[in-house]
Amino acid sequence: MKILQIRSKKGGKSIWVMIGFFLAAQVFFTIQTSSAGATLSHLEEKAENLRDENKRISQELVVSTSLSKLGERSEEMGFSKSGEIVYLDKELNSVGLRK
Amino acid sequence: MAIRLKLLTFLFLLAFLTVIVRLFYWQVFKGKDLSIEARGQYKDGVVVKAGRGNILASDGTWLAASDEAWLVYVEPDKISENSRRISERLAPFFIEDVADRKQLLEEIDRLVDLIEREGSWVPLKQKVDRSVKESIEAMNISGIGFEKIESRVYPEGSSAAHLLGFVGKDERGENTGYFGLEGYYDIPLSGKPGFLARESDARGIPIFLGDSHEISAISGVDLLTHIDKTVQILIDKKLREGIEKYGAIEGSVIVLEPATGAILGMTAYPAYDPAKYFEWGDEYFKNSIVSSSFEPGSIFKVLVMAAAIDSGVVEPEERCDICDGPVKVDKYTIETWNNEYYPDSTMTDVIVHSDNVGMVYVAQKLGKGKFVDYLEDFGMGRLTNIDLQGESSPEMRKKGDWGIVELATASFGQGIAATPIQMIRAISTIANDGKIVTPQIVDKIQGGSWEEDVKPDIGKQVISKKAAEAVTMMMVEAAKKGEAKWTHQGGFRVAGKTGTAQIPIEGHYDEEKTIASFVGFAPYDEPKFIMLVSLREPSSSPWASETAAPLWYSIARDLFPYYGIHPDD
Repeated sequence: MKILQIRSKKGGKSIWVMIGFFLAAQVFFTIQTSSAGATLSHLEEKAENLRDENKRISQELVVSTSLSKLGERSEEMGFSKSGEIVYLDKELNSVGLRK
Repeated sequence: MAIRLKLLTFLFLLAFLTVIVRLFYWQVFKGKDLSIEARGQYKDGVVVKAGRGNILASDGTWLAASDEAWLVYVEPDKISENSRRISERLAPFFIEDVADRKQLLEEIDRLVDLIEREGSWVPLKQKVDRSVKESIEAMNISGIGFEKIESRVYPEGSSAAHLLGFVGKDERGENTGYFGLEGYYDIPLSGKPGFLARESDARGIPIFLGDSHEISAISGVDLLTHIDKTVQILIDKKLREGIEKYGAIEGSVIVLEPATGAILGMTAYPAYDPAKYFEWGDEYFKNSIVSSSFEPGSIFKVLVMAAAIDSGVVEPEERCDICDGPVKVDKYTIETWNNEYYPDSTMTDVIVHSDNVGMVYVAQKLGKGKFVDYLEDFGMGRLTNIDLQGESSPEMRKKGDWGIVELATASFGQGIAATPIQMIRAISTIANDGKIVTPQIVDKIQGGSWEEDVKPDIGKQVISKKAAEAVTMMMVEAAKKGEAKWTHQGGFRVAGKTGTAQIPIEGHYDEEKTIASFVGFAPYDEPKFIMLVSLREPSSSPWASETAAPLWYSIARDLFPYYGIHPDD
């Protein structure tokens, strides 16, 4: 009878330990998941900023590859179209001019 | 004591009942409304926009791309400064020319009016760019905010306006493509927006364990075109110069690869800036190359000659026995364009001299039936199915409605109408050994991880290879010895033909106004390109040989080295 009482006391204690453990775990995971929301939000904000930056750089690339603007710029810088084209004659080893 | 206890019990019961009734009211009667209100507070739903696809040149660089812009708005109940003061600070960013005092004052008045309006949110300016947004942000004006919106950038400006079209708004305020490629491929370019719904807390931070569901947005496709930017910029620049030089009111240039139908460049004037389409009138948006018809004049002669040679009714060296003077058809007398006549001309001479009487001889030998059949095979009177929005086709007279006069005048390109794209497609048949092709602008449609090749659409053999070669040689002679011989680029293998057409106005032809055209391809035995140049009402000279032809050669001289075309001698 005494032995049974002792066992029952020990069993009761371990149940309380387990309940305590699960409660602590639940609190821990709840805090973790709550902060995960904030992390997610932060990551989304970061992704948005990167997207913005990417868009800005792409935009610069789009504008900088404009052939019209490149032509205007080259004229401003003093480049001009070749006035005459020289065609090489392979067989005669000579050149001809075309205007 | 017992009474007090009973009273207390009654009061408790009453309080309990009140709570029960109240709870019943909130949970049963008002439950649905409160639930909706609560969901509105913790559930977040946003439409995820699909980015519009890019339009790319053949080298992969951009002709049109998606851009970001901002809508500037005001929340009138949040402003702390005087509305006029805010307007004075904002107005310089919203007008084109800050030095224009009148424009500035008008803008300030407009802004004051908007800021003083009642409402929680009032838009002030659409589509401001990043630099303007950052400048306004730096001023830190309370109550002024920004909303990101999608816009479109066209890095080559107006040089490919008619080819590209533009993106405007539909009746629901959504972005929609109009005209050109933007209009034709609007649905695939637009993509499909997605949706993201999830629970979030009071600060807007998502609740990780809450409900969430997401439908991903599908981005619009990219269009890789056949357009060669070098060619496009060149023809646009030359056309503008040509229009100024020859005093024309309109003009167009098309460059096409005859073997595949690939459009290498296409430009028409007047044009507009597709990024600022709203500053231009509707009349500027019409692409004359696909939407406007004209009487082609003498460039049409090569088609009639091709039909006659293919059907075997004439031979290139056959002599015309009516070419010694004007020819009478019914009650009309048909003369040559310069009243010069060449008795016993060969068919080649007829093309070289652009002889109207000679063409009447050819048409009469061909006959109405065959004539109409060939024109239909050349694609006259029906759409070319080019991938551009807004293509139209003039009706062609039905077979039974052709009389001898109509047959005679149509043989030299009068009394028959076609669009420039129909004309270049038909004549490219001669350059392509007799096979007709569908003009195409898009080469590939590119998704995120897939790509669809738009194969060339080669149609039927309209004329035999032999007939095509015979007419090509006639065009070579016409380029060398015809009216435009003075501008011919010696040594280069060019096949070409001029065309000067009078403009029909209210049932008669205008004596002075013409449409001058020149069509040609090079090298004639293995063409890299065929090009059609058209000028409407040139004032320096009405003749194509003095306007359209020199413009054609001016462009071709730059295209020869670009395509590696060398002179023969």
